[in-house]
Amino acid sequence: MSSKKMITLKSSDGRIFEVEEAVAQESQTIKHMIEDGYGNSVIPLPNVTGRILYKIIEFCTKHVAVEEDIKQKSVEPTVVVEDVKQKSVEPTVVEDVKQKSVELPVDDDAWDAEPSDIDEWDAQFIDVDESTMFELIVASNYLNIKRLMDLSAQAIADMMKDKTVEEIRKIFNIQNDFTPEEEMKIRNENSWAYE
Amino acid sequence: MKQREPPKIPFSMEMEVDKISNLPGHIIDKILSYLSLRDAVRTSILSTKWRYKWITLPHLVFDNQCALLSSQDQIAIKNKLVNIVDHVLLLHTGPIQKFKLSHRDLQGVSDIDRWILYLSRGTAKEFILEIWKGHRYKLPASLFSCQKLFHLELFNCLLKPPPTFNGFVGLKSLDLQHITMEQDVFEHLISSCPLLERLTLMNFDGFSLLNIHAPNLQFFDIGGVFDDVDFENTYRLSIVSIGLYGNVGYDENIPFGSPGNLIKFFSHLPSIQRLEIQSYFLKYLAVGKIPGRLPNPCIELNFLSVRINFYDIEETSAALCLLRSSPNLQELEILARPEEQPIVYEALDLQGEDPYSCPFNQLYNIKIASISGVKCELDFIKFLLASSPMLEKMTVKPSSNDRGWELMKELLRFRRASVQAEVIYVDP
Repeated sequence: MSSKKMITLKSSDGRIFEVEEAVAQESQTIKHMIEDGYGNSVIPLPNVTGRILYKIIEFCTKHVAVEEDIKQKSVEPTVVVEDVKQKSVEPTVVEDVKQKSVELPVDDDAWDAEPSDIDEWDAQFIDVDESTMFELIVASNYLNIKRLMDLSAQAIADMMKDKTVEEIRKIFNIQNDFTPEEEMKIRNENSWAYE
Repeated sequence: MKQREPPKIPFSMEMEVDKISNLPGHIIDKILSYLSLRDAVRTSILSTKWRYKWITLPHLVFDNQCALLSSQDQIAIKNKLVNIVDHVLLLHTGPIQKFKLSHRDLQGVSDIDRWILYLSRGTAKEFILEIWKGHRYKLPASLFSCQKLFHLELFNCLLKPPPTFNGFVGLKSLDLQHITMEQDVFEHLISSCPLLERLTLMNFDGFSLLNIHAPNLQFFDIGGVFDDVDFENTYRLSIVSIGLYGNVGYDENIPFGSPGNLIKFFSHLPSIQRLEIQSYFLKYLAVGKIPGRLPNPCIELNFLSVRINFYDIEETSAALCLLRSSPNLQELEILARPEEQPIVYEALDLQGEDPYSCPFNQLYNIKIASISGVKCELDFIKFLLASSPMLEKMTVKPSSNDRGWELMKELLRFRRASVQAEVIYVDP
């Protein structure tokens, strides 16, 4: 078994990490650097601290391993049919819409949808304090790791969901610099959003 | 994703800094894209910096969450929704990648034409329109000039493209449900979208011949009433789910020597991996000549789900032919179609079936459901158990407990080719 090529990464605070090429290439930024010929020397990442780089490597390593696993088992292709099945089940359309066909009930049991293990792992991974979460989203943006960016953005969005404006300001320490008149004006402009 | 609670630890010194407001614009866009449009627009009041952060949202989704309407007055609701969409579109700037309009109370009003016209001037990649009430909404010609579309999803619409329409060059995914269009429009649409990979068609009218010419098609999900399915050039098609929702009588005058539907159907599906045969589709497949095996085996097929009428000898023959032609099948699901037991019916003789001649060497999971426990069903189960040396689990779920005990007694008795096999009876 041929030994895998290792890539050396250096964080902003001087910590050195050696990772497999496949793992490093989860970052499009690093991938391009490798393609440009910088893969044989230490790749400096001045925008990422060692602490965050460690976590990012953990994330990429896990996901590369999961992808490998999938390839080996040749489990069903990434297209998941049950997503479509949700829609195909007759939606509760009001009587107005003519139902042209008599259909037998689509068997929902047909293809079991189990929550995937990697989703649970991801949820655990991103269950960190806000400070770390922000560092992760900024770093994953710089390193161009789509999956991690999506995960951290979703986590931050989850903190904003269904909260009042005041609550959101408090959670994120946003200073309200509107005058009461200005605030009232904006509320009226987008009144539908504030009902 | 589970909703995150704000931290229960007291805020540390570090937390007093506002880290979010200074994030780059596209990161904010990304975060806001995970919120409903309503929540995203509400951020405009967080601080002066946030006033116009939402207006570059690449995805605009107008659905039930947008307007919490308590009124029952249709006119009021319509006016309110139209106002919201107009307002948002006017304030919005930058490319709109995804536009979805799906509010339960919005009927096919002409304002939609105006919004589609606006979108057609841009570079929209995804367009989803669901009209939940009222008549089929006739799509305006401008929709057909959205040449950047890669995903188009329509519910309760009528498609009549202008004569100048020459397909969507970039379209990869098409989802049409409860739609009306004519036969030639349908064929032209499919064949003029060369990159099409996913096609979903549910409950359609206006056409009944499914001529599918799509060289890149990988996923095909269809449920409706149709007369014929004809695949051509679909060598990449790997996932197919077909439900024929009507028990249409078939013309028995098929020219002698022509291949039956079964052979015809599979002749253009060399890459099929997952197949669902629903409702009456097996009956359609059983029309015409049913060979013992298909001329070309389905070597890629690893998952098969079939709805079958066990009282129909043609259907059982067709199912058997398919099974014999799928040497690499891993998971099998058999669902009985609830039919009246005919007074006289001819059952397939499975006793003569030699289980060693075509063992299912990869089949590890079998699910049987909706059966009544009659002999023809039991014979089939017996055959499966005897032919599956790698079986790990068989689950049997009858439609009712009426013959439960009898069924269980028989199941217990059947010889199993696999010593590992668990046979599990599930209460209906």
